[in-house]
Amino acid sequence: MRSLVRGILISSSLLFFSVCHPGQYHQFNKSEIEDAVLTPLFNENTKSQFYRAGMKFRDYEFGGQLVFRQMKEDVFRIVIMSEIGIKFLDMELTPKKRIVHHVNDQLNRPIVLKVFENDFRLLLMNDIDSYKSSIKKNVDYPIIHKLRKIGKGKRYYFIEEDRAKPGRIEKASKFGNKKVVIDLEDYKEGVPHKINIRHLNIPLSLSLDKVK
Amino acid sequence: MNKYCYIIFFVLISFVSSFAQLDGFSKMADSDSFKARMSQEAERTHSISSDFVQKKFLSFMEEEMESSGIFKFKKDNRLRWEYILPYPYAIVLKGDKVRIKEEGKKVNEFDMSSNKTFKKINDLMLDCVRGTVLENDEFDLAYYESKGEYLIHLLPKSKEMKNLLQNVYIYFGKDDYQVASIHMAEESGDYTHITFKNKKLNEELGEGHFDLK
Repeated sequence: MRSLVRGILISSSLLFFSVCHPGQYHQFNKSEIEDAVLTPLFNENTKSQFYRAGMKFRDYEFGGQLVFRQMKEDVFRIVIMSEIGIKFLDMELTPKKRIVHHVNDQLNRPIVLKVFENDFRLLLMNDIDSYKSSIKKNVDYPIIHKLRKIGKGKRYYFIEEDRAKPGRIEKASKFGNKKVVIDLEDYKEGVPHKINIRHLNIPLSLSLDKVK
Repeated sequence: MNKYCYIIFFVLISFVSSFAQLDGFSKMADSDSFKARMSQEAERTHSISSDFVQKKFLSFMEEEMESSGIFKFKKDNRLRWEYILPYPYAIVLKGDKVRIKEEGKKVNEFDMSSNKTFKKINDLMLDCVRGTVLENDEFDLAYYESKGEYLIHLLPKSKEMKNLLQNVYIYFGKDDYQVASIHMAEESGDYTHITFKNKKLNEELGEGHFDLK
């Protein structure tokens, strides 16, 4: 676990020195659909969502469970724990605040908590009202919500034709470098049963499989 | 003001939770006899097979999360902890080596010393099932009994352990001196409760039970 924290710290530090290059999203066209609304991932279902979690950092693998619980419309509680129920992280995200109810000593580093916060905000979309939104399309996706916020980079939510929920989410720096990719598959009753979060600048990934 | 309300709330939750676990129990009349008998039983128990049901309570959820499976223990330090529901997952401890098997994935092996938290929790579980928990120096112990059970209340000594668990309650059957259930309570009021069923003692357990492929 210590190597995980050290690795995240080093990788994050390297980001400050990364070379900028032209954006990777220039293939987008403006969409004809102007009134599409981006629907938050779990907004139709206030029950707890229970996932089996697998986290990988370099060669280190960690297995456990993850619970998303919608407390209010835009407030989520997220718990990561071991199979035997020992909590590693219990975090609450409001649109503007992060409240850490519990964190294991080994994960209690500002950069680690920030990585989790950013990933979960990207996925849960409970802060999208603070972003400026526009709609694009490309050859694969008829609707792509592009969200921009000064100092926060860009987010892309790729919506497939037959549903209102994203099949892919991407986060890019303000220069257009892709940083995080989230694939969402196997939707049932509006809830993705497979979620895979990959960091492109840190060897870190998190896979979530819905527990039926 | 909010900060103080939180502190008072958590103190109250811990206080009420302690009372709930000790309800129906009184201080053990003769803890020395209990310790001696525990030591004897631990000595004569070479293997244990059992089913278990695990309930996880998170204070912000409306329902408990239930999982179940089987566990096998063989002296001195072989343990197989296998979940069957809600999904298959098996963990085997063999000395300092840990092997984990998840559905659809290759077996993951690591050294227990590389993960201190994992080691502390597994030492505790191993001590509970093999009856050596009275020797675990991570905790202060208090002894209670009711008509049908003995109860040991474990209070973590170190800050690190307190960060994981606030109180641990281990219930032993008065008939067999074996663990009947374990209750692990956290500061927030969240807890994990594990109940053991259909226990079989001293069955022949081959090494194959402690191999994962």
